Amino acid sequence: MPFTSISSFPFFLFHLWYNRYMKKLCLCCAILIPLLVSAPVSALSDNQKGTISQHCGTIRQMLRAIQRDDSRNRIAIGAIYETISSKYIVPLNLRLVSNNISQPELLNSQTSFASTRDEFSSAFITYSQSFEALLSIDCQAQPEAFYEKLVETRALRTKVRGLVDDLANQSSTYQTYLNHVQEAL
Amino acid sequence: MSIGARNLTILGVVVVLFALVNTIISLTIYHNSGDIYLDRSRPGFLPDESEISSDDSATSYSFSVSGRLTTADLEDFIEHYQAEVEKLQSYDYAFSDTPLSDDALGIPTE
Repeated sequence: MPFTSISSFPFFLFHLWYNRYMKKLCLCCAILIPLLVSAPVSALSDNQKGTISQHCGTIRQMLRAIQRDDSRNRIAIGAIYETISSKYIVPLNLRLVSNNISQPELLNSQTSFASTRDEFSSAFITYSQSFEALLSIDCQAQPEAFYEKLVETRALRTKVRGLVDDLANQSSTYQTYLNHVQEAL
Repeated sequence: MSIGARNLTILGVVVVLFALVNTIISLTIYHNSGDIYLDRSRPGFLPDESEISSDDSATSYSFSVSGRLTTADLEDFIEHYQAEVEKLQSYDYAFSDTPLSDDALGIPTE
């Protein structure tokens, strides 16, 4: 920016300052921010490490119980998803098509429900694999590695939970669409 | 040992080794594919007998894919469908964050 008049002097100074310092600052931020973000989760305190090591057996026992409950819940919920899909959504859509009743929302629901169900199965497998890896870590000797894996497993569990909520919402929305069909008949 | 007996022994060993290798490969695939986690008959992970409820009306219901769709058919369908949705909603606690939290596992939060 050329310094042409007295009124443009402040802009000239800013331009000079920007060129000299801001570029360097931006470069530093570009390098440091990803490093800070990707840095591992803050280390455990001695108290936390001590508790994990000391109560390792109890924690593992609790984790095994959670793993068992998860498996049972997956079986129960999975069976309901299967029933909803194969005994309700698919037959009704086929019947609507054979009756020449156009309900695009219901057809879209079928596709969406099936794909979310597949996503749920994959997410559950990934979560279970992480859980198994968590149980294989010796928490008495490696409390930090154990906690790091626990944090990772929690995140995967949250994803599974999100998909469970999503499927519950989809099945409720389908019910709303059914009321529309009922009104249209 | 005669040649026939020796050959028979070799055949037996080869067959056992072949079966062993096949079993190892199958179990590796079963584990790595994640099917083990979806297996409903996995020992130790099945619901107890007392937890199994027999809901005959839900299992016996089937909606025909053909025929004219009447209001009565749809009402019946909605009624049964609603029961399934309610069953699903009863599992709203499943996979919640609480069991894996620091508090639940007894890990002090700093």
